[in-house]
Amino acid sequence: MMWPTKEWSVAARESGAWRPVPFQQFSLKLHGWCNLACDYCYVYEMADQSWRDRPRKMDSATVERAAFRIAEHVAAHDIEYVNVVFHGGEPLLAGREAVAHAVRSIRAALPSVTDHSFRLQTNGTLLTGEVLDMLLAEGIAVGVSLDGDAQAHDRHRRHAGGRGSHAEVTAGLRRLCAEPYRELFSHLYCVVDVANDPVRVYESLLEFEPPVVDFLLPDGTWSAPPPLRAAGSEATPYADWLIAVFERWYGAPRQETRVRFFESIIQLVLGGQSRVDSVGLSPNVLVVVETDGTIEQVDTLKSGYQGAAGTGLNVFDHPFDRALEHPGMAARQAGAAALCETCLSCPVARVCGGGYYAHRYGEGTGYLNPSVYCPDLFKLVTHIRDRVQADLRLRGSGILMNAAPDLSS
Amino acid sequence: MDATHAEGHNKRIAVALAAAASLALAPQAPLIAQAATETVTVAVSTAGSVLDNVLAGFAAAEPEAKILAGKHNR
Repeated sequence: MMWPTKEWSVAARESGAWRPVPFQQFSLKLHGWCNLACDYCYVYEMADQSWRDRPRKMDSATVERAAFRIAEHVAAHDIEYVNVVFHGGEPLLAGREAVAHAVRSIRAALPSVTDHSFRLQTNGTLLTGEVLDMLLAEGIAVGVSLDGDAQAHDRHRRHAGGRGSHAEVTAGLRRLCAEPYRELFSHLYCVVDVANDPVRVYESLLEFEPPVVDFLLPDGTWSAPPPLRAAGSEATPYADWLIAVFERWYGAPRQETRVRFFESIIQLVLGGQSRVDSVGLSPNVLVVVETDGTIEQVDTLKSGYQGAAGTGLNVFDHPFDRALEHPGMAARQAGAAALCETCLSCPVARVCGGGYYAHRYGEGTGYLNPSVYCPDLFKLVTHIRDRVQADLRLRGSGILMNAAPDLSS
Repeated sequence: MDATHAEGHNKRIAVALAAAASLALAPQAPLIAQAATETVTVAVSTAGSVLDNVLAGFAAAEPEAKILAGKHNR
């Protein structure tokens, strides 16, 4: 039986190693299809092909039922703050009215005292003036996927016919970056391809002055490894690439943007908490609603095997509380109790947290493995630790020197 | 789950619980934490490098709920 099992989650709960943490982040798949055909996409190009059997668009009845379930969950657990993410596919294919309807339905359903925010994750090609007006009116933050300059971006993020999308995406981004929409700009997501020059990629993203940049490792598993990440190899192409970006980002005299992946590693090194779900051991509180109303785990699990994200639940028949009991949800909330023995004996496991959960999958062993990126994560974490430690020691001696009494007089 | 498997599960959880309490970037972590605490007051008032701002953020009490609800980044 593949890990995590129901028996494991029950035992973890009974022993106190895991206690369910209510969901606070809800991802609604407003549209299950996309107008791009990126070759690394975990929705269409990897193991799970469930998108083929689902409605393209979430209908209004499903949206309203999802809103009811979110409000039910919030009220049941007295949750102070929730974040709702509109996702896809490409969520803007659902149309402006559908996005606005989703926001209004959720706002109307939520208890008036509940703090909340909305975010839309888009490929950027449909960010027209009319769409931006709607997003501004409804207060929806926008994240855009951009992999760098035209050469880097168009290497993967193409239309079905092979035409690159960089020109359309950057045109949409320029509209988003202009007033009065600038305040909506949340972040850029950039998927790493080590064939691209790291500093050039980073600096091309900076041209849009993003508040946040997140670098994402391409999805892969032990059964379907990412490019250049062969099992057993100690090569660290992704760490080397990310370290080059880290040095450019960290070494800037004034901070140019936030890179949450790096910030989180620094925070964790200092004993703080991660701001992203790809490192650290803090609980994950995300649940996904698919276009047909099925309740799923994080969608990147689709990279593992057919049905990997499934829970067997749906918003019409089940509250989100039922999903909290799913062993996969437990594994993503159990911290060190969900790590394999290799990770438990590793000195950097508190920081890397075993890596991104989806990247631990292997046929036969399930998710009880180190990340397929383990050598890269180890090198990156130790590099950042050493860099921060050296700087703090320098500052510490500076403080002492400044505070030392002048004995010359 | 039979008795042998149950024992295995419980042992693994016990090991994990112990590890959760002890995992650290030893031996540097205490030094770093101490240095960070000492530096925070200086860092907030100086120029805005990455380390300055991360340390300032480290010192600020960001609500746990907002940190958790913003973690998913896909």
